[in-house]
Amino acid sequence: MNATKISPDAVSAGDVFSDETVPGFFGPERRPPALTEISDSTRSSIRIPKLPAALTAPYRDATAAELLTHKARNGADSFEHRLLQRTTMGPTFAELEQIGELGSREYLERQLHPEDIDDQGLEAALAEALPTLSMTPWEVLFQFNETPEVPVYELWLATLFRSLYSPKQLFERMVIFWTDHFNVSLLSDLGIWLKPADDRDVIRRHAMGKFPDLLAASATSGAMLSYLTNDSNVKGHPNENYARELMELHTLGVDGGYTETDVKEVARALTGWTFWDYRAGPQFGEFFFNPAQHDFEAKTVLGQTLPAGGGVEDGQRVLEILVSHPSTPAFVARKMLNYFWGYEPSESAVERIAGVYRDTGGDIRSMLRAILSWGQLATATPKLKRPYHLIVSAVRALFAGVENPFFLLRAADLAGQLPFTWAPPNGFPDSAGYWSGFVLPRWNFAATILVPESGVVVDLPFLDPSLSSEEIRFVLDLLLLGGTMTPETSSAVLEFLDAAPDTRKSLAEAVGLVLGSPEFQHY
Amino acid sequence: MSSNDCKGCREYSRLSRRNFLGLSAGTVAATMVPAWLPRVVLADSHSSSRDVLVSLFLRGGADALTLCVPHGEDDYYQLRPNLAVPQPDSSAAAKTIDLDGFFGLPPSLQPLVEPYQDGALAIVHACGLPDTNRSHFDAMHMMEVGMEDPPAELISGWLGRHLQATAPTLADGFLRAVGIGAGLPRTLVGGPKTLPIGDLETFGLAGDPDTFDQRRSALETMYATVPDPLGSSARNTFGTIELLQQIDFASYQPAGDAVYPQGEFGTALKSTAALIKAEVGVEAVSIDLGGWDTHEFQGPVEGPMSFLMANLAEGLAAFHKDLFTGGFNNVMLVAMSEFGRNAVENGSAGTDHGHGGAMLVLGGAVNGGRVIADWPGLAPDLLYEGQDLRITIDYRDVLTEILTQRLDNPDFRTVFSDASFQPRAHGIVG
Repeated sequence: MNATKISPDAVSAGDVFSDETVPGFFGPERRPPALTEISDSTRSSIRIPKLPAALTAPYRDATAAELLTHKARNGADSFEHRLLQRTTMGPTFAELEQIGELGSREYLERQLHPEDIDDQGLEAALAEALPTLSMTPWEVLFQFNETPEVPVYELWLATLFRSLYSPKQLFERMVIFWTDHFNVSLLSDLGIWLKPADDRDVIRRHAMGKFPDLLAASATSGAMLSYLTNDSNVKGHPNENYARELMELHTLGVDGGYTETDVKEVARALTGWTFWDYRAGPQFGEFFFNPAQHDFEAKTVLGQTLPAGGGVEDGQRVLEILVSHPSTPAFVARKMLNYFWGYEPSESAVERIAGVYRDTGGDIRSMLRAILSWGQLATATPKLKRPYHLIVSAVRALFAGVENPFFLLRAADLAGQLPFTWAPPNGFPDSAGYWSGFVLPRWNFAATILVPESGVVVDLPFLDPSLSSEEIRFVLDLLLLGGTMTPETSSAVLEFLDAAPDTRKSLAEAVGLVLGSPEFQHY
Repeated sequence: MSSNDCKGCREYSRLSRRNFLGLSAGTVAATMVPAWLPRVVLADSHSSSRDVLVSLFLRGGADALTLCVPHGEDDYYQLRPNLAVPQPDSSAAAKTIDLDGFFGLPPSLQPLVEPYQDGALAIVHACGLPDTNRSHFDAMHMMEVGMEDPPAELISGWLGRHLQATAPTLADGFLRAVGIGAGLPRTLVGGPKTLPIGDLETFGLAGDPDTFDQRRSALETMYATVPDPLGSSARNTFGTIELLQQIDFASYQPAGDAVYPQGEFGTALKSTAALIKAEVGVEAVSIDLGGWDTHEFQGPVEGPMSFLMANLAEGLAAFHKDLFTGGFNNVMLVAMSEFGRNAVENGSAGTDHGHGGAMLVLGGAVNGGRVIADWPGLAPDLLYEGQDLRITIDYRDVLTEILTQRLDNPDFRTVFSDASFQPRAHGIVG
């Protein structure tokens, strides 16, 4: 049936979509069609946002002399640089300037209040080019059921451009953290239609708010309930999938002190927690408590009794129990420390941040402030960038514009971290052990970022082939590594430059080498 | 540096475009092999006693009742009025090739008859993952992890864990396993010295081949003292680049005049054969072949599924001929899919997600020339949930036989830890 001829207000969606057309998606392949293989018609139906020039090239006219001055002001590997590594998707020269002017305390305080940072230039450009960002799942399904790539690519593009150019960098980092914590695969089941709304209304809305609000939003998100199949968790036939991950991954942690009986009881408490399916029309994807599928008998969860007769409040009570259980603050604190501070935080650090959670009712902003204001941040050991972080940070370090975002998405895919495509519910891993196995895609991204086809537009007049090898090395160190270049990388780059012809191509290759260096893989 | 000479820019740009389209190292590897590097001499037969395992995943839910036709079942023809492959004695031009009087192959799988009669190919029927899940996503995940209800933190695949549990055949080798494609398939996740490689022929550093040596040398200097795990991973990658450069995939001549089909799948199998013959310590290769989700216009005899099956069969037959000519027998290929399809056809000349599937096992140690099945029947009261072929052989039975008998796995529980899984022997390999 041709959906485009019917008004999206049609309530009888069963007339619009057959059971077979809704789960069409990308078909059964393990991954979406290779990004370089998207059809011309798909490519032409996705508009690349045109960002205001001020966002992409604020420092293109910087000179080498200014860079040198800047370095003298901040010093190599300064605390400010360390902080920026943690608060951004890779520091830009603009942010180094800003933190130099404001001081790290004031800079951090501003980043902790993203609601006061003006990002209208970026958001207006995204809204203009990517209409699905503001649509309901029903509107998306209605308009794009024949071309499900469109909402998928639009979410990828919005995410990529926000990571690259949003002035709310700490907020974007926090969004990525929660996207992993409350992982919902964009490419599974109904994810294509429901994840865009989950990204907007759950993750981004509550990313800097209170953890209990975020959890409650996630627990009533159609995307999550679909992904973890709570829609089939019904009286008499409980499905433990969501109940288990709610405790194991979202709140208590696997060693958080719950039993298999607790899993069963939580599943019973959450029977009937579902979402409107597409036949409901405009309400598609919205939370819906179905009393007919709810188990009204009494339950006992983590030692607390939920009396018989409770309806939707059973699940709400479970969420209250979980957010105030002693394991939750420590679990969330440890994970945030691992992400923002460094691998394997000490028990005392975990306890300190968990204390902030308890004192503030799970205020994410306060926990972040405690983690990042902490004097010991300067002593945190470097973390391995995950591939998406690497790719974004390279573009940011080069103050580059992006004309072909598909190149960057493809690079992320090849390196193993295309956003929203982690299939299991635990989110992309954040460990050096997992990611260190695939280095060639990183080097090859670095080696190709400056070829014309990459669409990464770089204009660095101060980086001139007429400079001496040592001057070039110095600028690259400052620009890309914040002055942290090791002697090994230094000698490798010098040796390469000394033997290379004096061309912009050689310069581009040297940039590729520095972006492929061990230092640039870390932050 | 002094002048601004752009000699070579045009060449750079041209090659770069190729790199971009082909991505990763691009199609330039053939020209970037240094002339002084001695090429590996391909072996005539495999020197390790252990089989090299090739795991082939047919993604999408391949229809087992077409892959291996139960032509002796009247119910099959009742369930599939439009999609059944005609009986061997039918007057139709395209009909089932009888194998054993009960099962047969559809005409597009004709190339498999030779390996079957040669005793190298066995078909395992009515097998799969005993879970009831009909989601591609969940079923593939469980099958590749190797558990019915894997905990979220378990992300390694069954083959990755097998490699963890066994010592390498070549102690100082750089590469134990390859997943052919972008990104490592779940099956291989967790494997030591295991890399996703889109195209074995072109694995290498992207960019201008003229500066390849200089850039590699620079990266080697940078990573020389980097601590593990990143340091060892970088060094393995350099080793693998060098190793694969020594194998001349582009001009590789299959033995026995075997002809691989054109396309990605044929190329993957052909490169795999070359890699195996190079004896560089590779123990496992994972290959994907997608397109089996035949909800409509399935075309089992002439149509989309028959074309897919022809590609599959031509590839496997060439692989068999290439390796077995000259006795290169210590290779085991196993093909599986996440589930079979509904026994009953749907209203769109297709079939929807079902349950029991079929596996193909090809190798020198296979007790082949047989369809191995504990056949559950297709009568209405015998169907799983009233609609599907039952599973009477756990797919892990097949893998456990291969791992323990042919791949020196010391304990299958390191791979398949579900207590509910108790492997049964079916004499598939010996």
